Amino acid sequence: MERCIIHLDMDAFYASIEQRDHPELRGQPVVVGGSSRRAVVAAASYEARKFGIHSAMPMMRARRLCPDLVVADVHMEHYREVSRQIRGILERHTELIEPLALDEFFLDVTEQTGAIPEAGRLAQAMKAEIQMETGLTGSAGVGPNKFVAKVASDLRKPDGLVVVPPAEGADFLAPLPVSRVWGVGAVTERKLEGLGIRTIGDLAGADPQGLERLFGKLGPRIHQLANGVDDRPVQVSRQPKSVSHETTFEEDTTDLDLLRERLGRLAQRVSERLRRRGLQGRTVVLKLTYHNFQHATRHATLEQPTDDDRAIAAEAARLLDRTEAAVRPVRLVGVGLTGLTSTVSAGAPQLGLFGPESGGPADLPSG
Amino acid sequence: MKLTINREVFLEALQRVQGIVERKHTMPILAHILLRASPEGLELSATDLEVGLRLQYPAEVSEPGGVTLQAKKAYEIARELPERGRIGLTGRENNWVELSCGRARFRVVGLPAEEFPELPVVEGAEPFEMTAGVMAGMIEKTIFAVSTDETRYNLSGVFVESFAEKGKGVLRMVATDGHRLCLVDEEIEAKQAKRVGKGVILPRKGLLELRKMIEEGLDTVSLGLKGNSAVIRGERGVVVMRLVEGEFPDYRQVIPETAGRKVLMKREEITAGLRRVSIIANEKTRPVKLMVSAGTLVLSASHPDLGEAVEEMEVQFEGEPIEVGFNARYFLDVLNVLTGEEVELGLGDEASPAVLRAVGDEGYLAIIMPMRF
Repeated sequence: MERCIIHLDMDAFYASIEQRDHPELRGQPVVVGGSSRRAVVAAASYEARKFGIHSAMPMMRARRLCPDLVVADVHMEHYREVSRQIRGILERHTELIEPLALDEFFLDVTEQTGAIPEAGRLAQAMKAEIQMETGLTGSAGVGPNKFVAKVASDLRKPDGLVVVPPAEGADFLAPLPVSRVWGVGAVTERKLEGLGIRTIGDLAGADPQGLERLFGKLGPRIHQLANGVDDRPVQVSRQPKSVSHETTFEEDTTDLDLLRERLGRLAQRVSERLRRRGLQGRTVVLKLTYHNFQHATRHATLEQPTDDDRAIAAEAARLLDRTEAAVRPVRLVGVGLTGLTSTVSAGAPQLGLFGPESGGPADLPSG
Repeated sequence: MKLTINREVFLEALQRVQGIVERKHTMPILAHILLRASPEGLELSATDLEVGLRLQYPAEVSEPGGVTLQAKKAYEIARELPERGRIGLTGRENNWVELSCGRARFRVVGLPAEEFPELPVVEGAEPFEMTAGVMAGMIEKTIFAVSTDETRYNLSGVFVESFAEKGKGVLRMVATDGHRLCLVDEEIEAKQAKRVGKGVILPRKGLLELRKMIEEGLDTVSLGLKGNSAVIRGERGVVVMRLVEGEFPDYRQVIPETAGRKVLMKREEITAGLRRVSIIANEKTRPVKLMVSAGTLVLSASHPDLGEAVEEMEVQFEGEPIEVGFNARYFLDVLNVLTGEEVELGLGDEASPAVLRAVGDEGYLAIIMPMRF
């Protein structure tokens, strides 16, 4: 059966939330991000984008492009909350939801709709509900697979809706530049251009064997995508292999107390994420980047899996003693946990009194 | 500093502080003890920064002052000195200490006495007082449930709180490792009900020191709290401990309100039965299955390499039969501190906490989470 896939991408998510919550920011060029020297833009409002500002751009550069730029602090916990709210709205319509980020979701609505035009109407309804209940807009793409849906959602931002009937998939893609194809980065794009391939249509008509010789496995894959063929399913829950957080210092440091304090905060964020996903990990990983960009990682495996931030921080601090942090300036520090297991699985035979595994008055992670 | 002290007294003092002295050598001074001589005698201090001891011993002091000695070496020396001898201790320049007894003479290096960490002083706060024997009983009934998992720091001690209930004062101690929980209440004078207040977590190691103090002969325990320290006064001196930081979990929410199924059994029978059956169970987790049906309890355990064990006993029970698995160790720990002939086991379902208590003792209960089979 023909599948009906929706890709929903919220418009300038973090920046829109800040503008929604602070009316004085509406209509202003707003970016969300840190205020330190090395901060980067996490999200830019459409007003800011007019100045050529985009996410991941160094904050310094963004300020230069737009001297009147308003820089709002990042309120990640709040954005997560809004994301959960949106997810809640989507869940009224289907259980097959694959979140890609806080502001991006794939939905498989084949069962609910049966045909692409019907799925388009559902996407319209979802958008309306989200706007009514959260005051935020999103853009949706509807198509027979993930690739087409994703490309479609990006076409008429903000507040757009693009529906691509299955038969028109290839035609719809043909005029678009090859850089829209997943897996085509700057290097591949340049090589393709050397072959005279600029649009997806050019790529779709190219010889797949030739592409394979040039790009290996990637060749046939991008050829298929260019032809509008993409069989990847919407994956409901993706259990991560590891959870980690890292931070870059304003200035390189050899201050162990500062490093430990940072480790504590990172461990807290790791722990929050683990708990929300109902996971625990056994191996603590400390990652450092020294001033000369040389990396170092240290691992320690605990006796029992944990999601406790103190335990993670304590272990990370011990690992720190096994690095050259006190003598070589550190630029970046990160904490992660691997060897993840689900706390809700039957893996742990002893039930706990307080944890999510207790089955009692548990503090189950939501979402 | 210059003094003489009875060898037996000195040896006892050194032995007493060995348990406190830090062995991990993170700070060299923590491997030392502080000796301070004053007209009142010899004061000996040891600390690992979590728990500290300051004890007073009789000595003849001819010159007040302070020195430090490496705790383990000092103990080894004192142990080998002639019995019933008298030891002379003299502080020399550059932190050297002279130790003499009979014909033996030692010159050992110490560290500057000023570098020894100050033990926190808890004064001004009105101390909480309790009969030592009662306090010892409460420690006995909870301390085994304290978590030894370093990662669960907030469970590494016993939670102590006091409050007024029906015009009476209550002192409550609660300990848990996240799998089982023990709670004990004792009545205290109403006027003392606010002295411990909303609750503090006393570290396990500190409570073990307190128990030692009580065993050495102590009538009344006097507990003073201030800031993040607790001080307990004994006959010989004080135990000082740093309170465990962090929040103790809300234990009230895990105590089942209704038992569901109530099983009454003979304490000695169930204790002996669990001991026998758990021989077969897996060493580490000791899962034993309890099957309860009208009038009967069947204990069973099996091990893939060893075999199986079953034991049946008569109990008082009416109601829906049920099968639940538990770590036998958790039951035995509790049964060991219960008194009285009969115990009552409250069971919900296969995944609900069980409540174990002695019949007729309203002041103590243990909550144990099942194991999945």
